[in-house]
Amino acid sequence: MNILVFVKATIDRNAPLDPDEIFPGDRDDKADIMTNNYDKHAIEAALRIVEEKGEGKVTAVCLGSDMADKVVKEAIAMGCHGAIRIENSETEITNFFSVAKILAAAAKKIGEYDLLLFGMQSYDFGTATMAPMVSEFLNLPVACWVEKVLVEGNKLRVEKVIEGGTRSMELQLPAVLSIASTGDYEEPRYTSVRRIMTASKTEVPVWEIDELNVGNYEPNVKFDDIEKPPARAEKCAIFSDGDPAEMVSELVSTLKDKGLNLGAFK
Amino acid sequence: MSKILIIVETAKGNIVGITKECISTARQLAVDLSAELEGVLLGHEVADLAVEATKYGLKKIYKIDDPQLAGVNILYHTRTLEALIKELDPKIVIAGASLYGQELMPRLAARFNSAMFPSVKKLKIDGDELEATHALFEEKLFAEMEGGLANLNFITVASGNTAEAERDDSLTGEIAEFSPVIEDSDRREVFVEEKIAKVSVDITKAKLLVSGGRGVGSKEKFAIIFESAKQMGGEVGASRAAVDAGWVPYDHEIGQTGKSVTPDFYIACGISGAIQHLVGMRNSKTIIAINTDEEAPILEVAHYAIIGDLHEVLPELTKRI
Repeated sequence: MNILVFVKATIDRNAPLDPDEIFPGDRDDKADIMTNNYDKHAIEAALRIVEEKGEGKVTAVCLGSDMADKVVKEAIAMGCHGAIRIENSETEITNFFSVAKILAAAAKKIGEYDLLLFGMQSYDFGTATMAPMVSEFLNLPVACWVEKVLVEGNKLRVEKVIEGGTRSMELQLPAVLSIASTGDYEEPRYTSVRRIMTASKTEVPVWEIDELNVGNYEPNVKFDDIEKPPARAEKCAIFSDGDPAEMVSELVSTLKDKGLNLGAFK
Repeated sequence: MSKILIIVETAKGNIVGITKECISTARQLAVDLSAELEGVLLGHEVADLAVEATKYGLKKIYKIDDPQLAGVNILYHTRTLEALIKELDPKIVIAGASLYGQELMPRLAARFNSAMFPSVKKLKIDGDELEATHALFEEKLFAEMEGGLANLNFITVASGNTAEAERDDSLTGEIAEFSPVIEDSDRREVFVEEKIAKVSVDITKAKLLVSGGRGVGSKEKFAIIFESAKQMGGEVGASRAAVDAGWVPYDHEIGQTGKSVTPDFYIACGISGAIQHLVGMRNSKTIIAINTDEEAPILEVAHYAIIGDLHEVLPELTKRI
């Protein structure tokens, strides 16, 4: 079982957000960069599938600048057997349509795969388009928001999130999945000191987009005018001092002052 | 006359709310483009639903009614819609940014090598350009997207940004039959079964919701949420994490994959506030968070927060109300 898991570098959740510096390549400090948190669920799923099958290989694939080296190393430190970074210096390619074309071309170049895994969305652009688009470019079956995977011969039985429940699908391998942040893979594993050592010693090949025979990947839609939303008029009133009874008293009297009656529904 | 095609999504025998938001959003576009607003509905035994869709202002519904579509198979839908779109040649195809729409539309856009506007909050025509607003970084930033109107455009509409179109029984529309298109290679994706919660409560009508998340701790401990809701005269809500853990049935779920609610009071207990939850509850009138973590994202939408253990705080609150 050969699994490719696609990982993305994004601005860290705790780093300051600047509308002019939304891509990892815009930043100088590696501390500002994280692995897209949703991708960690996909890594967890990939590793678990291989572990349960008792054989196989997981390769992390990342389109990014050298600021993304941290992300491919983290994928290896979590347990991926290898990684490939596709050079995207100065963050030239950011549009999801172009990225999907490039990732599909990278998968083609790798050639040997049974399963392509994605996180369910990215923290930064959040378009949730990668798995379905790549599946189309490679003409593969796909299921998105997958919470559970069972490998049965050359087929997969998956359980995916739908509004109000779950849906089971059977997919022929090779296939593409996007992994939900809930369900079986909700808690991605941590890296270990031993694995971090392995990662630091693992050489990650860097491919150029030009080598991939992508064809035309010009997007039809462009993003511009990135702005902050208007600030909240009123900040959250936080009660954090005293015992529970005291905090509750403060809350209740504050509500009362505002004319809000929490007891109106009894 | 050019066409705007709306993909009508149904669940449990009803047209879903997001489709009605798509219709509202599309109406202005239809005026600006002098386009006809049409819909397509896929499923099995959906004749009544096709008629119902016309009551929301769709002038013509392409009804694709077939036993092979009894269970949702997005590949069958993709193939069939590809054929329909080729035949109709619409300018714009719109679906809700539901889990269904978000899986279907990128597939179609990829198939047509066409423009895709994912999860848009606002949409307008400016000359020969289509302009849309898309949230970045889980709504901490917003981007404007632009694309030409000369070619086919696929759009998914994010929920909660437009009022749903109202049903108007005086409206009528034409129903046209269209056959499913399924190729042998499409059998690589097979629908097996669906597990959907029976609706025992309608939390969307509640004025007060006491809602629990992962922080509640266990199924046994979740009883405190039910008990407090009962004593305060409210209903019980939950995050996906809590329903997935089996602590509470799916029909209590609030968020992207559950219900959207706007009660007078929303008490979020042990809910960290993942964006998937926030989109379903942030328009509540007064939001009170009870959480051990002062840094939890729920505080970004909450009006009031008590930092503490919900198992100690909630009983005190219930006592005082």
